[in-house]
Amino acid sequence: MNLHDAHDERHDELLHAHLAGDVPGDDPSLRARLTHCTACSERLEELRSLTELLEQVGGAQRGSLAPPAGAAPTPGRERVAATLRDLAAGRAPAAPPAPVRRATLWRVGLAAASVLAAGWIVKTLLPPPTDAREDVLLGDNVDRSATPNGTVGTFDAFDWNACPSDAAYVRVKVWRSEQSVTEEPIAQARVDRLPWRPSTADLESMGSAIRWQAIAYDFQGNPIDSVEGQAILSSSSSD
Amino acid sequence: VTPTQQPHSNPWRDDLALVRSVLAGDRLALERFIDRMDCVPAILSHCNARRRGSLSDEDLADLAQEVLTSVWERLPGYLGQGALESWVYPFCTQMFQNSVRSKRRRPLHSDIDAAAHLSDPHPALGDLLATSDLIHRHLERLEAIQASVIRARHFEALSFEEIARRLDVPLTTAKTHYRRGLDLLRSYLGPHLKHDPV
Repeated sequence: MNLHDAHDERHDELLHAHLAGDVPGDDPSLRARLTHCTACSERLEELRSLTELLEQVGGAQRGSLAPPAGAAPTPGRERVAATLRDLAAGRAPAAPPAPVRRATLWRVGLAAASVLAAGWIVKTLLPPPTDAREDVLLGDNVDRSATPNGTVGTFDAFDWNACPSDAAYVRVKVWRSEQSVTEEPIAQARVDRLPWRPSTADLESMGSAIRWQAIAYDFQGNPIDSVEGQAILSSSSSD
Repeated sequence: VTPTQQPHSNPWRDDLALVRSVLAGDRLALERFIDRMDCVPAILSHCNARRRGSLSDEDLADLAQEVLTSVWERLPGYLGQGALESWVYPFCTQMFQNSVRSKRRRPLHSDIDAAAHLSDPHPALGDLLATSDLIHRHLERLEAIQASVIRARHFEALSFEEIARRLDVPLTTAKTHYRRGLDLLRSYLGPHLKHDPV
């Protein structure tokens, strides 16, 4: 075998045979392949990383199916039989006891009203650049500190301390306050870990008043939530 | 010397027979199925522990009922290519994630790392749940038999010999399905397996 052949399917077979335990790590052909073929070593690293993750996910799954050591009552266990018997009989599963259900519905109603109210707040009360309030309410009845917002000392950290649980990343865009959001942002970044700290060049281009928007995306790249803010430097506002 | 061929116990086939009996209206089978579905609240409680108690006991009980309803609606789609509990598991994790998301918002720092943790050998507990959800979703994109071999290998910790017996295919075929499935999964998750520069 010419060790300098381009990477092809035979090499993959060797890597998979190794991962399956059929080819030991000290096998001369495997060692030579990994030494001379960058693609092989990278692919093996990715496959190892993937199989380790599958093992971890599998371990978590097996762990959740193992009987609990403390034998604490499992919420919902008492409903399993009744729910499945109802479904098997072609009936909708019976609702939980009335007081609990009423309480749940009351909370749902209150949450819905809060969402509407919060949405209205966003549309009508978004703080002007000189407003010193720090919290921005979006349509989920959750306060979220969005930084920078209102009158601030610096624009050096963009942070958004609450986000959907399945967000994969956030894209941040910044405009000068006099710009429209339909215009090209003066700074933007894909952010995998908050806070986002703009570069010195970005900070210089921002001037003294900005508006910004951050959009959270899921793993498929679909936008799932957003937050925005407006901020003005305190040194500028006191002029 | 070939050992005497004995009919191998095949729990997957037994699970498929159980489900078919349940769907056919067998009451005794339904009682056995009910016992097996005790795994639903157990998995949800485990998810909740990983999320440091995001949902109340009442929410978990409501969610268990929703998951069981969803499992029942999809039951005809169970083909016996894995243990019943393995088939149910992603229903629980995905609906749990949805429920947490709709109930309250979580700090970005702990969740946004789910993708980054695909290259992290020791992900945090909450991130592992998100990663698990992601991997289960991508497994759905594989051919059924490829996903089945990967689930059996890593989620049920079976050997290739055991997998081949349960699927009633030659050992080399089981390994080939595993390899092709793993390669596809690597291609789907590739952007996450390497650190993604901004």
